[in-house]
Amino acid sequence: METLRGRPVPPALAGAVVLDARGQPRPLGACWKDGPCVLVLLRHFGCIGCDTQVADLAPRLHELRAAGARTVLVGNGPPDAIADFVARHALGDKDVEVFTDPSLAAFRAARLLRSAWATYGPRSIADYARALVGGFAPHRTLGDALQQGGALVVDAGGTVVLHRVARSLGDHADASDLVDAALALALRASPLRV
Amino acid sequence: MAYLLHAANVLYLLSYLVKDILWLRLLTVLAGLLLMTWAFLQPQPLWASLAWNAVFLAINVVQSWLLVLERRPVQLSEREMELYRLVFRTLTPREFVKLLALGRWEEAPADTRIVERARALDRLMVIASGRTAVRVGERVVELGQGRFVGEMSFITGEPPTADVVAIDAIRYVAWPKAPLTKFLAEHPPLRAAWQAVLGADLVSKLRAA
Repeated sequence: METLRGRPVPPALAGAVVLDARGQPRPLGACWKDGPCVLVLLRHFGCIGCDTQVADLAPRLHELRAAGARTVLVGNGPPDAIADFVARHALGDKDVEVFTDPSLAAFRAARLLRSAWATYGPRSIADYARALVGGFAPHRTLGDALQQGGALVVDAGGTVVLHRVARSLGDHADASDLVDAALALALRASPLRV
Repeated sequence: MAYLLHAANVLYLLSYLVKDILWLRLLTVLAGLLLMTWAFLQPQPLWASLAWNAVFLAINVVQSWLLVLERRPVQLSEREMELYRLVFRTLTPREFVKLLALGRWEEAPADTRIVERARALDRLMVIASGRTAVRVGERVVELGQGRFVGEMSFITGEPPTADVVAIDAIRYVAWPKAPLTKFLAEHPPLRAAWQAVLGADLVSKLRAA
């Protein structure tokens, strides 16, 4: 899979329209219009792998915000599933926005995987077992079960500085990698670069 | 001899009931010893059982010892304690000691240039005492106790864009970049804690600049 790292955000991704919890359309490209953006594309809202990812990411959201980055999560289920997802992860009062893209247009534009093998293959079975052992519970599938996730960090100029394509349901970007990318962008934008 | 077998199984039972991994291993070691004694004292010693239990015993003894080492209280010298309080309070003292072991305490007299503009830097420093100066355009920004120097190269791999000069005698800890990066990659929770420290430093620098 070709990486987007170092390239401008593909027009199809910048032009993708996602939906908020009320079903209102929001242009995804607006997320990095005013500054860097950490864009995490989740799977469906009941995905146990996404639960582990958000649990890793949630305690680091304030670090991303402090580094000047906006964090946006995009799932692929129905808009009315967002509220439950936000409540389940106690994201309501955190520096993060949650949208959904049932059309999967943003996922395709971000060159993410969609396959049965990635969803039901041995790696995903191992991911699933790890999540269960880690105390996470499975939830009803709310969205496209075959679509895998990924992450991008986009700078204020619309260039992708980190592009992560998940190969299985638990193969998500390490929160520390996202924080590193956000810190690097903050440093480059700082007048005090020592 | 059967009482040895029963005693061993009672200890195994207890080991399944405890939650602390060290107690679990220690109880298993005791149970294993009793079981081995029982197997050895049989009219025909049970060599296969003895051999397997010897393997389990060895593993548990080594792992227990490692756990004991990890749990030993941490002793910090006064200057280490001061740096810990100043910068690294989000780390556990043991994590801090592990990090310190990778770095080196250094000193520099006043007017020493510890970072050279546009020159690749292969280490990250934190100032333990004294002050340094960084020229940012027409302004001079002071970086004192508890401030990091060299994070530009550490995080982005790019050279610094300004000199850093000691205003007075300074003492600092310097970490070589490659071993520190490798160490943090091998210890994800520590990497996260380290990033939080570095991020907080960066935010205060952005405000100062």
